[in-house]
Amino acid sequence: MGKKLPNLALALAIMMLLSLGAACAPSQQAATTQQPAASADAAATTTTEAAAPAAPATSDGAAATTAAGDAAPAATTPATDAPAGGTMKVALTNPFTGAAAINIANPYRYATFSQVYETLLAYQDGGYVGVLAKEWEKVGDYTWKVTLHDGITDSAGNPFTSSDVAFVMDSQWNVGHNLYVYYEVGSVSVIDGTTFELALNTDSVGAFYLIGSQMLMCSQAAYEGSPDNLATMPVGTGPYICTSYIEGSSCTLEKRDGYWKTGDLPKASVANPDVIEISYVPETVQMSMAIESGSAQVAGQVSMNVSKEVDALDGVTAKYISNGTYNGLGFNMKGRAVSDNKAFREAIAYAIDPNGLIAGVYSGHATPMTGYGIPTASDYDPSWISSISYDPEKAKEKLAEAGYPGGSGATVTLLSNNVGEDAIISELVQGYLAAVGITCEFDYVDPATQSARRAEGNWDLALVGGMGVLDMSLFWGNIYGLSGETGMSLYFHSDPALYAIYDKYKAAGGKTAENLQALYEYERDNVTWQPLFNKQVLYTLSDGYADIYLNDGYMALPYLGTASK
Amino acid sequence: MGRYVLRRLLLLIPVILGVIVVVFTLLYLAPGDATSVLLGNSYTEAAAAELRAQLGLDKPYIVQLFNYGSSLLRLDFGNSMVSGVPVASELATRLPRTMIIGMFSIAITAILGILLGVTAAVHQNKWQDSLSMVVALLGTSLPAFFFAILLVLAFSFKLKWLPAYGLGGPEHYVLPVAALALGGIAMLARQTRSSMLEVINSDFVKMAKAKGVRRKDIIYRHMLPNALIPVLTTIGMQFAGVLGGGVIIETVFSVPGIGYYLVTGCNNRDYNVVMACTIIISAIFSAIMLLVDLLMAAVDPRIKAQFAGARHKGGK
Repeated sequence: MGKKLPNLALALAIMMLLSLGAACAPSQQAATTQQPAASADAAATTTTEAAAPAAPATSDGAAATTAAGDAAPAATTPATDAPAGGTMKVALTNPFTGAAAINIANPYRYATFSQVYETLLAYQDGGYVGVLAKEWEKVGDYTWKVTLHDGITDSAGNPFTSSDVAFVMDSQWNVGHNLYVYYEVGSVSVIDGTTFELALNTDSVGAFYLIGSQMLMCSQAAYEGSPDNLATMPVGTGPYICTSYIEGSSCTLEKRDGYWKTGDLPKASVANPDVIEISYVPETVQMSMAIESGSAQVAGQVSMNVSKEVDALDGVTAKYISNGTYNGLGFNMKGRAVSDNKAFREAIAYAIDPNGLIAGVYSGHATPMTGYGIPTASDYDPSWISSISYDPEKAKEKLAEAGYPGGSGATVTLLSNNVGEDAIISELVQGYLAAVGITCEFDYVDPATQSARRAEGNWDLALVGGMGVLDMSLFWGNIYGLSGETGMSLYFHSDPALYAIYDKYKAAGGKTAENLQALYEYERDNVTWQPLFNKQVLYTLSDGYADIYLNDGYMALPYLGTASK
Repeated sequence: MGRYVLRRLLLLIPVILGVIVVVFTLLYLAPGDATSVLLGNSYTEAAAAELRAQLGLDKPYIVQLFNYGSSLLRLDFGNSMVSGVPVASELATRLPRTMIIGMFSIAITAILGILLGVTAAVHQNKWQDSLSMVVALLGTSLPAFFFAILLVLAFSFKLKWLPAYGLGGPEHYVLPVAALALGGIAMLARQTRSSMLEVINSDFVKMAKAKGVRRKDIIYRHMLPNALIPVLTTIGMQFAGVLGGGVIIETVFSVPGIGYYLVTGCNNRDYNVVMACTIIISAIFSAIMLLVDLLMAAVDPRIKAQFAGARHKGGK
């Protein structure tokens, strides 16, 4: 006994060393590790999908707002292959908090539950199709009439009716509304079991489509019948039911017997695999090993740090999807001596190279944002380009014009959160500004306090962004707020002239081409903010699963059930 | 002894009360709150104020503290401000996972760490000593995160013996436990070696040798109990680290435990989550430290004699 135990300990110690040696040994299948972002080139297996064409939603009043039924304005596409059965293993990078339909908006929750909970509409192939909604039409400046399909039931057998839509939209206010567009929901009037009228606070067509395609629905009976309001076990009307959900670890979806909808299904409603096993793998190296080993047949939200490695893998297709987000640099023009100087703002805009940021942070997998708007907005005009592009010499000239020759004494405070990509972008921005003589100090805050700190206003520059924008009304709504200077203002502008133009545009009937153009020109001429890039997300698909529908241009929402094997 | 245990158990009450007040106060003073997360880019001061009132965060400090304390008396930890899930039910789900990883890793740490330390000490300056200390050095130098990845590479990716992540059967816990144990083993081995070397030349050891006591009895019956006091303290302290600091291992292996829950709660400024996790961790840690003290009394007659002395004095 006396000798055996120490010997055992030594043997274990030696095994430990050997295992480390084995792990570190070179191998044909050497595991991928995080690489510093460097270049934009992609291997031959990479498929880069461009941003989706402009959404058909229009915003110019009643003329184009009689969209009704599945036929308009969507492009209806037949369902994909016949059900193939089997189990599909999915790994997603980002876990989330809470499984309830009625919750704060979170694209990562959508990625898991988009086929458990359904929405009224779904964005598909650049247009909209009805999911729960059969027909919809604009019946007033602010009002939409929606007819649901007959016979909708959730997986618990509860019927889903207009009253449930009203319940969800009313309840959303009680659980947080971190999405700008949720503020645009006015009221819901139930006409009968399948028909209701949705009154919005805006005449933006895009707002209707965004709400229709983002607000997850559930029946009031299921919500109230759950001990925790579906927070740990979702019950929805979708083609899959959730049989197991362990927050932060895994989720199992199984094809639902007796799904209410039949016939020509929208892609959101297709269910090919019998079982979808989803694991949440936030650690990058773990994720890359899961992809390489095939234990993740579909991997989503994969870090760009491993893009080169997954591009080079045989049997794996890497897809870079525009997810409809936009990122820019916001200038605080409210009482800040430095950024309230147009020439100085121009100097900053000239000093920063979006392509450098994209190469440095996203391994080249993002799109420079050249204009004031994004292509997914239906009324976006591609000619609305920024008059400023990267030019350090011009930046120095503008700096001198602003009263800071050579950058002497020019110090700006950059507000950013201190984690992930934003922290790296901030450091790169600091470098670009230093190159033209501007001292950039950080005000790093953790993400939970960033919005509050931005509202305090003690900063000059801020990294800002948004997503899911379907028309310019929403785009500018994100930037300038609901009601001009008194409302929300993501970029914290303070310019009465700007807000006068914006309020004119935002008013009922104000969404005219003339007002749009006026707003764009004011932004361009005054450099009220500087567009930087549109991000992409990386999905990897193993052979046999390459036909999964990744809803490009719109949150990169994958419809996992569309994979056939 | 019984009275001592009772006294220590009663002492837990002010300790936990203190933890509640201190953590609550720190959270109250910390910048930001859950409204920032719930409102996201829709944040305005007006909307935040409305939501703050809805969540009861607009009330004065003392009222909030009193309300929270009242809820605790009803054993109600409240709901998560972000997900709406009752915190108690989340804790009931997550705590066992963390405890499994923590208990097993501490057990392995204790067994291997002590054995390696003893081996190194009794074979001082020989190859066994060198090897033990190389392992200890490696364990101290390698961050748990990196060692976890190496383990996954070896046992999941190449050998395909064990799952790389997720929850399931016992096999899912092997790698997290091993990854968490390494650092502890290293530290404990060094501590044990050092303590053993302090007693190795003691008079009582020489006496035992002179009396012809068998070598293994000298090591395990005379030397080790005398060297164990600082080692037990170290084990107790490591358990605290495992409970609160296992978040990296939980993240790497996708095991949603209490550490991960606590960090997510901090990031979201989810006060109810942070408070509940802190209270639970502090209660468990206090209980573990009590257990350590009792173990010390069990292995060291001098400490037991102190208890007896205290009881005797108390009896007068």
